[in-house]
Amino acid sequence: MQPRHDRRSFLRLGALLAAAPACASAPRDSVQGPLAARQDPSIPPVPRDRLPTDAENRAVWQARAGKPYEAKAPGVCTLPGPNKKVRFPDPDKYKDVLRVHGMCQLCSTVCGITGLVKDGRILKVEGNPNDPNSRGKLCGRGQAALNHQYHPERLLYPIKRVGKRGEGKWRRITWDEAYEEIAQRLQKVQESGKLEEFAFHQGRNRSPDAVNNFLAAFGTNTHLNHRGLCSAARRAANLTYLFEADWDLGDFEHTKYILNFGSNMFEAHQGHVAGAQRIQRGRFDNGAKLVTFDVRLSNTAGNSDEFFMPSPGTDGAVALAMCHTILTEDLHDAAFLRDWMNCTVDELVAELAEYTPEWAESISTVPAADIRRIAREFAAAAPRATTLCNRGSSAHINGYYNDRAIILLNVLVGSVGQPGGWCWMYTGAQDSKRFKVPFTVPKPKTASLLADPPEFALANVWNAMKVGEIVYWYLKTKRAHMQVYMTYNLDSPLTWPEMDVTESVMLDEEAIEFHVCINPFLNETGALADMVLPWTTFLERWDVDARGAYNLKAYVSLRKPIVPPLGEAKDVREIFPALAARVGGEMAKQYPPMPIEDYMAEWVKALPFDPEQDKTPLARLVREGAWEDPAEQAYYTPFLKPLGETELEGSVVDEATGIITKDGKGLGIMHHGRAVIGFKTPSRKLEVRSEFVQRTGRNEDTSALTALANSKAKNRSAHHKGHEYELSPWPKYMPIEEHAHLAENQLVMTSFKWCVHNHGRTANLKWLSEIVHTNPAWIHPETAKRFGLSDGDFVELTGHRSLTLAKATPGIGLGSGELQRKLRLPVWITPGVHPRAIAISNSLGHWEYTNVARGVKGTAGVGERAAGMDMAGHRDPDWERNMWWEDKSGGDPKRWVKNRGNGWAQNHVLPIMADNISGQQAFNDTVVTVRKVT
Amino acid sequence: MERDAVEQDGAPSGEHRAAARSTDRRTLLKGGAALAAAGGFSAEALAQDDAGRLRTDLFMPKEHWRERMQAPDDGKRYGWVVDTRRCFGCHACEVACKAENDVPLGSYIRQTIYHEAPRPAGIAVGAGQYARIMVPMACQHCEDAPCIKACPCGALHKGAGGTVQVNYDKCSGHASCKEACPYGAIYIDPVANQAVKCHNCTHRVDVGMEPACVATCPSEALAFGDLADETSRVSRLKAELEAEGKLERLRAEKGTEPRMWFAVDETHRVETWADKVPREGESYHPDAYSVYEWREETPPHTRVPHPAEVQRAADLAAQPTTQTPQSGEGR
Repeated sequence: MQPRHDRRSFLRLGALLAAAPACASAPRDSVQGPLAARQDPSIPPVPRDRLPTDAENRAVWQARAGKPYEAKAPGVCTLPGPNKKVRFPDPDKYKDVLRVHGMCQLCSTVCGITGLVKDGRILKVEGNPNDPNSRGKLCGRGQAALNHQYHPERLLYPIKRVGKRGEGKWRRITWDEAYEEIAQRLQKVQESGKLEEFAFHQGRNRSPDAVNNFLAAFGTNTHLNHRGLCSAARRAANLTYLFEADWDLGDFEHTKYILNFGSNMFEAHQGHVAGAQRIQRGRFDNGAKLVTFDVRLSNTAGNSDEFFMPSPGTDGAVALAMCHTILTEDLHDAAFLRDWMNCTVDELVAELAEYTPEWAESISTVPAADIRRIAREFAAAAPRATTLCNRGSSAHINGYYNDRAIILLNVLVGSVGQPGGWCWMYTGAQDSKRFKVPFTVPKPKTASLLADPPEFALANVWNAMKVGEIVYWYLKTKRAHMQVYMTYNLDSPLTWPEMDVTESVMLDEEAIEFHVCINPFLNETGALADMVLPWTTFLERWDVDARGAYNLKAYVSLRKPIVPPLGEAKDVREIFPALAARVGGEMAKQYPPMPIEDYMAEWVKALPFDPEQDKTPLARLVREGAWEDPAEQAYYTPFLKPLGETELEGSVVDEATGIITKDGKGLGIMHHGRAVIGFKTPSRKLEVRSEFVQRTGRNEDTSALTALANSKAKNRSAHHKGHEYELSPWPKYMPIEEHAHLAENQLVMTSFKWCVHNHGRTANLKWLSEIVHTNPAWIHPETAKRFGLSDGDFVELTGHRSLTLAKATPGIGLGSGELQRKLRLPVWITPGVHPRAIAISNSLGHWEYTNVARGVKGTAGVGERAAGMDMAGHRDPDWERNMWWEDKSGGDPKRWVKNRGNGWAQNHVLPIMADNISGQQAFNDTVVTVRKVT
Repeated sequence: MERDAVEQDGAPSGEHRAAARSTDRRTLLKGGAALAAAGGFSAEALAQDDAGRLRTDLFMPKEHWRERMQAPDDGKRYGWVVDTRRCFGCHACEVACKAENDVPLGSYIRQTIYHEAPRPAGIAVGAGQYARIMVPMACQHCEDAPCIKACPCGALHKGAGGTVQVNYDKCSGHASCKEACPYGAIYIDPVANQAVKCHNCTHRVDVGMEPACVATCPSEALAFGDLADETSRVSRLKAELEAEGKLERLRAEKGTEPRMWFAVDETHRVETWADKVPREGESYHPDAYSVYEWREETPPHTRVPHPAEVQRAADLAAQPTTQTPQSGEGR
């Protein structure tokens, strides 16, 4: 047998370990296996004339035997010892398996899932085909559920800090001790009379019924969230037009044209799995075209039929220029506009006169010819044409206006509410009128400055979006104070802007006297808390839940324990009544304990069921996992729904406007002689021109308008007086001042999400972090040339506060200077990012949240965090042995190896930038000064 | 004598690759130079591994494998259609496969290949001229499987529907299959020390489920089923796409008759992204996911040894000296 040259000799030990780039001196030997085995004379060479005997095979195999694994559970690599694979794949794996439905919660899309369970262990998590939204599909995140459930560093016991807050020392306590201390502190808050100083802060909350009842029973309205960091501007724009809905649901499956501004639906976006699959169906089964505008080549942009890169924050300019084209070339749906636009075409044309494609090109760098062409294509495809947008267009200082401009496109071509067009639903979850929460504690009247800061005009007028990103600043500047801070599924130190503020405030025991964190893992928030309670995973608890329905029919789904909780983990549905009972008095009365299954049964009792098949409605929902009413019609053109005779009894029609009111409340509108519901807005039409927004900006009374809308929208609270703004009632382009004056060494820093990560809670999942664990900064080759950068070179970034916002809301006191903290990270040079931008993912750079998120192999350094864990009982030998992306550079840029490490935390240099219009945190506008460091 | 590994990479048409290389690779390699040295290969090997040639030098005599190459007589012909136009790189298939098979970190039965390429002329120029092509990759379940021919111990064989699979009572970890596979679809498990590859999830298919990857794909880019059944989804798709001239195979010139067809369009033609798929002697490499690897001119990652191999080397170093080769020996 001649030794053969081969491309690889993967066991040339000498070559591997030699320090110098040595010549591997020996020919590689592939036919007969790695050379090491050949060296052992006791192993016979492989015969060519016959198959080797079992003994011969074993000898070869044992010569290179590695260490056996010990763990035996799925999700944890199981290679039973002594070494060889046994029953792989196992034909009996799914024999007699139990299928239990539930709902994922690794992102906000909450797809229906099915757990395949055997002997009390989840073998696999898949999509539930009965979920009408996700239709049985599940993304990479959902598929990593096993990593989440059986994580060696899962928090299983309540812990309390030892030593100073944030020191990292913990001791395990009992639930009894935990409840006792929390209850005592809550009682103290009651005694102080400042109920608002019990603050609850959620990241992702899919149990709003329980949370709302708990906080209402206590009497606080300081119910904080993350909406301002996410979608405030987007929702405000939708609400401005529709009032009825804050989330649009393009009918992608039936469309012919999808015009996408800044949505990365194929990697992220609320409704990701449901929307993305329908987009691909629309394109490949229905011939639809997908055109994407994004400052960066996301997977969505990369897979789109056409892709354009506008300068950061200029999507609105492009959209307005498209509107301009559609109007000037007479491509709009004149009849639709006459009926349903609350202004005349002439008025709109006058407002948009300056927004020519040439003007847009000068601002956005998108060629005017393409702007015109795409506008024409969009109009030609209408009514089966829809826009799609998200944070790419809206997480900007001018995000509200960008989205106002984008939505206008659908209005102009008449695709609003049409099959294949731009649609919405009357509910963003399940139909709460049909499925009533068993009890609702009335909301208290306690004012809360933190929940309703006065500088933000639209944040709380339609519904309470609040302004999450301003909370820590308010505490730091002593505008507010927390006696008890309860955090829930939140990772604010990582995910909130301006990390220095978040950290310093959370460490300050005067600003936050007591902090209890509820989470399944010890994350950055928990690390700064006084007590951490082990929360059940989404595989271990109950909710009635649903998301914006892309079938345009409401559905209901059930999150149900697929396995019992591990350790002493508890859900808030158990924690809250227990706490209420301990606090006693009124709170205990308002929030009585109720067995969870009884509560769920009561909640879904309106579900139709066949007693032959299921004992109760709940039993049916448990069995199927999700339900969509077959009798429900898709929510197309809801504005054309006629008003019935009984509804119209006692109503009056305003001759001038055609608006129908009853008892002073808007009911509908006359439409070509028929009484229809119309849009649920003050004009009963699409509010292209929004007097409501203008008046709200000025702190003027809008009750006459909201009466016509018959809406729960209200005026800004009294304490907003003094914060008046001239908000344009029209869609318009709002330039971002600081972007116009970039210095030679400055770029606009944008942020983004990855296909396998959500914002703050997936980096601890090993199969996902294996794929994406580091986040170099994306820069354009022109930028690289300017700075003299090569791939992998490090830069140092300095973040600058927003000039525009400093002028708009000087009272907040953030000013317009630089952030002190800098960020050093490597660059990746790609033509897939705008030359004016530098793009960095906001989801990486954890310093807590298990070794997986920290990028530390095995169990090194867990230390006293383990007090609340059962690491020995949940070992993961695969993680201990095979993790390969540890960064060994010690922070030295010269020693950093590409694709190693756990990334860098962008929020070091991303300032709090809360837009005064909607309270949106501008995550995509930061001016950064860039300096090469290697 | 092999050349300095720093100068080489794993692609057969090495010349233009070498030209395209930038200095950063050298920097990278310096850091792991010792490790990289093993990734090099000789000029003779280059000549042998030209596109179109198989590793026939590894093949056993026909009597070894004739029976194992014969699929059982179940009347089924399992095959795949992968729609590269639809895949948007969510990695659900890859993670589902990891979860289904407890694949160790650093190894992949299935990997989604990324390749950025300019969009063909005539489709929107200007700033957006790049497309990102994402292709879910796994074993091609060749009808004329070179891995079966190369396996010295008789572990590789055909199972239900022609699925190419491994008999773990026999597999001794020779790794000839991995050396012979033109698609880089096989890895050697770091602890079992046995070959692992896609097995068509026959344990699921046999009980009426779909393969884990197919069931979960949100873009419906994966189709698997019985090509002998005209009414199956995969057969219908294959027929439609063939009629439209939109079906291609990967490295068909190798003659292994892969049972995987790719639905393509102008932007997604196989020849555009084929070089990103690993070749003989390689496995799906975790650094393929480094953003630095996505660009058009970057070939599949071969410059740093597979982490499993690094671990194996470390394990061997810890073993008794009789089995530890000295540096430079073994000519």
